[in-house]
Amino acid sequence: MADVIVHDPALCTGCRQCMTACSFKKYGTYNYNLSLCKVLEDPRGGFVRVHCHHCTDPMCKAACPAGAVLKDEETGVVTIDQMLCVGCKACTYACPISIPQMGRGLKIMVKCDMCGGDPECIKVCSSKAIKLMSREQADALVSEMAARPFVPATRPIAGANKA
Amino acid sequence: MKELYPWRKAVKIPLPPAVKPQLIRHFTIGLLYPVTDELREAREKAGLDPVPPTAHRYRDAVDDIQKIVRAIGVDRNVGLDLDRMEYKYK
Amino acid sequence: MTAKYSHFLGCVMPTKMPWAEAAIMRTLPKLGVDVVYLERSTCCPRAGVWISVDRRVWLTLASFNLLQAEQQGRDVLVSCNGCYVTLFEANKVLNADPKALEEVNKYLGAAGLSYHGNIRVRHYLEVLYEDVGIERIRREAKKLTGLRVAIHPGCHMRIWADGHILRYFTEIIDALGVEIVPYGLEQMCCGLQSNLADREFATYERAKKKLDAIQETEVDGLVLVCAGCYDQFERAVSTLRKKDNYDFKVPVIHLAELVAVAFGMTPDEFGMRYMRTAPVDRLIEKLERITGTARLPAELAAATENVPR
Repeated sequence: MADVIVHDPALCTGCRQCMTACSFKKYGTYNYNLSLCKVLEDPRGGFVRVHCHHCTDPMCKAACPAGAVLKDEETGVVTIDQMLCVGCKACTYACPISIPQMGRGLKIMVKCDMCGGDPECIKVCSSKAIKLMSREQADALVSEMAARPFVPATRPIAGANKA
Repeated sequence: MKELYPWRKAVKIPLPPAVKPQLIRHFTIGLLYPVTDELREAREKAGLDPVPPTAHRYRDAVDDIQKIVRAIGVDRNVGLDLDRMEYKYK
Repeated sequence: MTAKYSHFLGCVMPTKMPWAEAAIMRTLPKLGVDVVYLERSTCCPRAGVWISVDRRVWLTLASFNLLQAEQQGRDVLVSCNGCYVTLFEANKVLNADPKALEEVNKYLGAAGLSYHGNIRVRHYLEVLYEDVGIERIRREAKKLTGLRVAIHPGCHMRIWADGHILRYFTEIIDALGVEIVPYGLEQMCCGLQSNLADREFATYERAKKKLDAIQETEVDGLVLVCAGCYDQFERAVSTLRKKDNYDFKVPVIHLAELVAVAFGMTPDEFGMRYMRTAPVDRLIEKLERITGTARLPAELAAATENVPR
């Protein structure tokens, strides 16, 4: 099974460089609305990143009436076939985090396709908040992140101010 | 061409609009910001040379940059005319 | 063998922060670091832009800057986080990948140049902390006790998994005896990158949020080392002042200025008063009071007479 993207909110600075890189890769311009991943503000402080997890049993695939959502068994990447999609948005409503979005140009749905295995967003992240790792490693890291107490990324930097 | 073929779509440069003016400045003066009179004064007051020892002072560095850019051919790819310093397509 | 450095200025530092440039170039020799200007330097160029547009341009133009230092027989000292990431990553790629180096040299050959990749790229903080030594700074620096500052490290300072540059930043400020006041949004980006996509977002959602939080803490200054972040703050402050009449009273200062003052320079020696986003007179007064170099009112009036704005 291929890799997935994991985001660590404790490291993210919210610079949105991944979003500009994504929209440039897909549309040749810098536009947050066209980006297929989103970095949003966590109401508790810090940032969360919303991106496709390429689920093992994707809801979007189950919901698609046209059979346009495909899961590659070998790489694990979930993609939407441009020629089959009818743009009904069923996948957006079925997805727990509403990943597929209406694309620009053709009235069909688009979503993250991992840039063919070499995601552009990973390359530009300076704070190393997004990482590419195998599903098993990702599971371990995410459960470790879930277990640690919530510290907003906006905490004072450790060791800075002892007084 | 617009008058002859009104149905043709304009050529789109694969470059974000925000980057276009930055590239022109990069390839004409070597850096993003020019040296102004206010800056010369402030630099002298800080005890520095009025013109920094960057490409601002060494014009040949800009020529080298332009030669390199031409060799890579990226000026053609983004539709930038290096002699006139303007984009061929809007 | 002591390392010799060429200081890579970048775009913003020589044109917007002459005080920081002067502070770095005057303090480091005092601390026993051999530093000269990296001459004929151009834009670093911005990795975030060029990696996506054309990777070859990024590598070639970065190596154009690196080879100026190589010709001088020196390592590169970078004080801007953005330039550091660009040059450091490019140097890493060129060292690890002979094919990339060969391709870069093919393009550099058009200008009659070549790069061999025998130098290091180091951050200003690394040089201060490792070469000068944190112990020496702790021991010899005049303590600026009573100064309260907010810090903005910047995104690109985090490229190391162990976060050592980030740690150096706070430790050096601590070593100068300056109190760091937390304001809650230290980790947030300044918004420079967002400028390319959405200027409103960059100004209001990123920079203004930080400025608001910093203003509330009533600190003496906002300390940073990244020239790119300074550029963004300066732009945001002037935009907000014009548009919303928003006045940001906290001066944005470079760490090198504090280091310079702690090692015995007076603020006027490196032109601290000119080209600022906010008036620094109160900060200078405070610094002079702390270091005991305060001057007579008449002298002060003469010095501040020609201050623009």
